[in-house]
Amino acid sequence: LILGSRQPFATSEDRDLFDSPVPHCGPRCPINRRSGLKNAIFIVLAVLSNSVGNVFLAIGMKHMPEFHASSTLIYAASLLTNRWIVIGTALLIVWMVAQLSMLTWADLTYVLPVTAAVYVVTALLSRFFLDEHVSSIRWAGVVVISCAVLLVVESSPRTQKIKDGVA
Amino acid sequence: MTWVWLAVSVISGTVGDLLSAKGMAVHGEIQDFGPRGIAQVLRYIATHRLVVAGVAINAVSFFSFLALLSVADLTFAVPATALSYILKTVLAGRFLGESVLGQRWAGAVLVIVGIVLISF
Repeated sequence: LILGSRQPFATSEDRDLFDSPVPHCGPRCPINRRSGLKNAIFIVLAVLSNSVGNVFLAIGMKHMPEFHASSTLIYAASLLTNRWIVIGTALLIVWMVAQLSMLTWADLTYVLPVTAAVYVVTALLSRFFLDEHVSSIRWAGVVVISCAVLLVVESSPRTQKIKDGVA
Repeated sequence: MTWVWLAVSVISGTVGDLLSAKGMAVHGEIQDFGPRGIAQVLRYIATHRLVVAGVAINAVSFFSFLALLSVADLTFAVPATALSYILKTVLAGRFLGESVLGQRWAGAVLVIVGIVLISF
C-alpha cells in the first residue's frame, strides 16, 4: 500500500491500514493511541472553552450599562474593561482554534455532532452557576443531544481521504 | 425579514464551515504541539485563503443571527438555524468526500431534535 496512491483498496484491511495515522500499525500501536487521546483532549477543550466562554459573556453582559447609540465609545470602553467579557472572548477564540485544529484529523460531520456537547455543558453551567431555571423539556433536549454525542464519538473521526496534501 | 435573515444565517454558516473544513483538511493532521507547532497552526489559520474565507463567512452568519434575533424570538431562531446541521451533513458528503453513513445522520438528526427541545 502506497500513501498517495489513487488506486482503490484491494481489501477492507488495506482500507483500515490507510485510515491509521501510521500504515501497518494497528489501533494498539502507541502513536494511534496518542491520536485517540489527542482527539479526546480537543473535544473537551472545544466544549469547555465554548460553554464556559458563553457563561462568562452572559455574566459580563449583566454587569454592562444599557446601550445608547449616543454613547457608543463609552459602551465599547466598558466592554473592553469588563474582565468577564475579555476572558469570555478569549475562551471563544480558544474554542475556534481548537475546533479548526480538530478538522485537520476529523470530518466536519464528526466534529459538529460531537461538539454539540456544548449545549449539554451550557445547560448544566446555567443551572448551577447562573442559577437559571432549566425546565424538564430542556433536560429532555440535553439527554437527546448527549445520545447524539455518544453515538458519533464512537465512530472513526476521519472517513475523508486526504492524499498528496489535497482534500 | 425573518426568513431572509434565517436563510442568510443558515447558508453562510454552512458555506463558512465547509470552507474552513476543506482548508484545515489540506493542512493535514497536526502532530507538533510545541510552541513552534502551535505558532505554525495559528499562522496557517490566519493566512490560508479557504480558512480565512470560512471564518469571515461564519462571522456573516453570526451577525445575521443577531439580526434574526432582532425580528424573531430566540425560541424560533435557535431551532430554525439548527437546520443547518442537515445542510452541512448533505454538503460535507457531496463536497468534502466524507462518508456520511447512518451513525453520522442519526447524530445530526438527534442534535436537531435536542436543540428544538432545549429551545422550549
